Amino acid sequence: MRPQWANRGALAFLFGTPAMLGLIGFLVVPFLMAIGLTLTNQKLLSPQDTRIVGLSNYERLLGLTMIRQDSVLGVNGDTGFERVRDVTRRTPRLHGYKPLGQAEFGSTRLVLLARDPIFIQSLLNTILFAVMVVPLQCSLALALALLVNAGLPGQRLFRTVYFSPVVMSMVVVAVIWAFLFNRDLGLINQFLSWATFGKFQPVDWLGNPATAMPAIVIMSAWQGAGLQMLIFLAGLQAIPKELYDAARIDGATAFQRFLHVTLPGLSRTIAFVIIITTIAAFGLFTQVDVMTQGGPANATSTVMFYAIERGVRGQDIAYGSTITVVYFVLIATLALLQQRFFARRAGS
Amino acid sequence: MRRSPIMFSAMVLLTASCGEKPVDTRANLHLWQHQTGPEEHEANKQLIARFNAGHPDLKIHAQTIPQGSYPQSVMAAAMAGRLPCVLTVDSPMVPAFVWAGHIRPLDDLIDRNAFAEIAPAGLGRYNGHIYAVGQFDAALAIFTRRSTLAQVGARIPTVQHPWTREEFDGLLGKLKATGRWQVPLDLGTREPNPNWWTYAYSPLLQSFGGDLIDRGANQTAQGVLNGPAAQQWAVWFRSLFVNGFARRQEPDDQSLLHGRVAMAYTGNWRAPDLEKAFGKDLLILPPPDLGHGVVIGGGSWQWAISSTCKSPKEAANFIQHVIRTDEIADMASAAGMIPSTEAAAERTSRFRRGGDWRVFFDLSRAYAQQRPSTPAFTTISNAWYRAARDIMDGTNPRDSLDDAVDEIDQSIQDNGGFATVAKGKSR
Amino acid sequence: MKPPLNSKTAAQRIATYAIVLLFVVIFVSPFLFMLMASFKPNQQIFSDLSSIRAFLPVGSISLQNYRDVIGSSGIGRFALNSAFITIVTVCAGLFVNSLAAFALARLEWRGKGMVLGLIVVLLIIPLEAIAVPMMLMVAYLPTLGFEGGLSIQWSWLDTRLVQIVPFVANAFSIFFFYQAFSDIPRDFDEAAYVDGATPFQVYRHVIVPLSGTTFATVAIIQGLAAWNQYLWPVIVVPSEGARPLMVGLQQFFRFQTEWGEVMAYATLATLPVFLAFIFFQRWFVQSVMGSGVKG
Repeated sequence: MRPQWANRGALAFLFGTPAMLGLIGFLVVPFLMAIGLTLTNQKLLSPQDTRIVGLSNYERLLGLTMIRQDSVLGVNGDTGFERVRDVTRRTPRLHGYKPLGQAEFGSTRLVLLARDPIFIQSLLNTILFAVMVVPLQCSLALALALLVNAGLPGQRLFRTVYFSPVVMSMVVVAVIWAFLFNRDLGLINQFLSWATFGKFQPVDWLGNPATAMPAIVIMSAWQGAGLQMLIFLAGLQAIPKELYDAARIDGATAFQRFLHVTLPGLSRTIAFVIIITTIAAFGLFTQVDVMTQGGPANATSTVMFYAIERGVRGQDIAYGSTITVVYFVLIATLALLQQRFFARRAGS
Repeated sequence: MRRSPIMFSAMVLLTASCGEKPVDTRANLHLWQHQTGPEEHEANKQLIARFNAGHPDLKIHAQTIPQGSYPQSVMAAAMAGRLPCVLTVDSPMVPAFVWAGHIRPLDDLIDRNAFAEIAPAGLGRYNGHIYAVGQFDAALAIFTRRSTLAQVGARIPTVQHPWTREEFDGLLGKLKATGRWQVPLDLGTREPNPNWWTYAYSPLLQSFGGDLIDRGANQTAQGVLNGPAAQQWAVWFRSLFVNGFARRQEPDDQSLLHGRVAMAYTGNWRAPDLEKAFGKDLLILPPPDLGHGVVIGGGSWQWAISSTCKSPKEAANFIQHVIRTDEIADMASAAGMIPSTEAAAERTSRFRRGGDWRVFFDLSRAYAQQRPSTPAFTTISNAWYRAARDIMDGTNPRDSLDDAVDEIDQSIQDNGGFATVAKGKSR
Repeated sequence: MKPPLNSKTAAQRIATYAIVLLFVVIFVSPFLFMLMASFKPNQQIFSDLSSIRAFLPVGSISLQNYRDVIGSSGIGRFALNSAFITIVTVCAGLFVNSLAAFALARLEWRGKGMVLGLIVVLLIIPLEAIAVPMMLMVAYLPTLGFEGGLSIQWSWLDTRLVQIVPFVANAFSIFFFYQAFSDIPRDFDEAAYVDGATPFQVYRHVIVPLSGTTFATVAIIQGLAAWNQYLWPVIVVPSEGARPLMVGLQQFFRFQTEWGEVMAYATLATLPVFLAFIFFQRWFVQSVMGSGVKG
């Protein structure tokens, strides 16, 4: 009677094919190509032939080693250590290594060397960005959702206002914020100075390695929080009103209600929001590209920025691909762990 | 879902965007130029219009490409086999374009004598051929005001007798001591652009006796970019910021105009604005001699013909038109740029002997040095930019310079020394 | 919907309002700055920057920046390109992704779990990660060209096509549709099948009509991404013919940037999406709130 029941599999295949073709053709295939390219020395438009170079791109990206140095007597009679770059340039085995960190123990010191310290710094920067932006953006979004949900007149307007940065192009947002962050003329310094009666010393937000990443964090949270706010609003409205009433009858304060009713009621929403925010955070690129180009002193260089910098602008496709493949393995592992973690929490 | 109105508008857009097809029997000559200021853009339009008027059988299609992504655009077009016939190239990029096979020698198509009058910095040479030719060059100078120097009793230097390093450092100290300006000097370090940093600050390194690469064979930067002279440069460069002589990032490029700084190190393209504001009080001075003579960067945007051009003869005609004396003079006047030939300079009111801006012409002829002529230029430029910027921000100068050298030498090694490969490989 | 207000004192309410308004200021001021700066000459933008004047239409206000932008930048063509790219991406994307999600959510077949797993994995690959190999790939894909008669060109570079096709199928959209479709009670399909409907008819007449808000959400999210594309077209679209709006912004960043023109261009580029958002917002807001996070 119902022939379509019989060939569901074929039909599902038919329905899914266009999307799967797109995903495979424009995500999976390029990604597999990237894996293949990592084993070569492919450059963009080099007249020289491409060669297979084995794992040397990975070695150049991830190479780490440690050396031990004993202190030597300097010319002035003081003791010190030989300059690390003099050692690496002299020793063929250490060729291309640069110092990443060091620790001194009396008259010896250990120096950690990396083939590509900028990649490692970019990786740390990306993690730092995620660690800062995820809590900030998620809590800002939750705060906005609570405010919009507080039943004040005009809340639809507020909702629109809070959401509006989401519709703006990140390029435009970054250009505008670069003005606001300006050291001498920017409004952020002017405001802080005004609010502290002139005690605040102007900060070169984007020009200081210590503040550049936090500045990008603030801007990113501002731009993205609107979307998460809407998701939280949905979660808030799904919490049964009776729970609040019961808590109130028990004499719970507003803060206790938030802690014992709102937060548990939002646990699944919070997990979802954290996961999507984290994924977005690990792809950080545009803000850096427009506002700081990875500077100052690589303080804002992220993995995606570095991959484009080397792969496209430096025309070293093979190396750029190596960066992205290594990175994918890292974030896929992280995402898996995160999902496990939240699945267990939500399940318990 | 009511999707039909959207579909309809999509169809309208589709047809609208496909409908441009005039009937035209003229041969087509496609041309790319980089984005410029409005005056130069307008002058280019007129140049093309005049050429078109003289060649009724040809139709030029000119397109403007943003400067920021120009190399990427050329790369993408080359991969797609869609390079235009004629294109502008920033002169230090010429070797890279030649090496990648984008452009063809001009001297195969045009008699070499045609280029005899052009200043060296106006020619893009590589491997013994001329690949590109420019109508004009730019020059960096120190801009300040007569009254400013008078205030601290400083000597006004000339092209023949520039400031020495001691004089220059002393002057900065005196200007700083007056407290009249936020800082004495705007170096232009706000620009986050590797090519600008190479153009503007590697000449200072050269003036110290260092260089970006050993120019003998262009195979290594070892000993030049990290040698003693380069380290001296680094210490000096850093000291400008430590001593409060310059700021790493002025909020805009109007610092001199608004009186925030006493002097600005910038290019001839700023001269019109500053002249309007300061009149006769404006001084345009050579950069200081930091020990090994004044050096300024040479070589601006130049015209070239792509290897895939199907009508090279017509393209060559266009290039020949571009370097006519009257065209060079017109462009130089309109864009305020330094003409590539003496004859053209004499035809302009600004750059002829005795003209207000003759100093740029003299500076360019006396001190301009081109950037390293190697396909590794982009790598060199990026490595230099990172090192110089980090040195400005206070990293260990020796380490930063060594890193730059390693990066450059590695890239040259990876690319087999950029030895020219026999032609014939498609794409 | 509303937590009872009666428990709050007037003071509490005023405090809440103050915070709400503070956030409004924080969220509106950058926009306001962009809008106001677009009416001002370059010099005044800087001289106004450090005071409240940055947010006020004071000083010499004119439409000159807009005239310059419209007169010189090719913004019309870029806007047309962006509109075309956005509309086609969204229309094709809605159809393709919802159909795939329908197969995943409402049909039973072997390997479903695996495909779903693959889609979740694909969610975390950002475009930047595959931009380079994808560029190599699209450089050699065939397409039909119209220049000088119909012909096959062996490259997608420098076309509108290359800005559309790779973005039609979207893992996030499929996932989003999948969640929304999964929430619709099964009885609806069963009833339709009993009436002799084919699966496509179930999709067309049962699932789609019940998911209007989900479609709106996906349309807006995918549309915003298409409209605001930047890195990809910078890499693959060199010339003016197919250049989208956001890349056009680049041409203002040169020596002596005219910031007033940048702001005017940015305002013009943002306006259509902003209006579209206002127009769609009720639908959209309900949808994200209604269907976003059941997973």
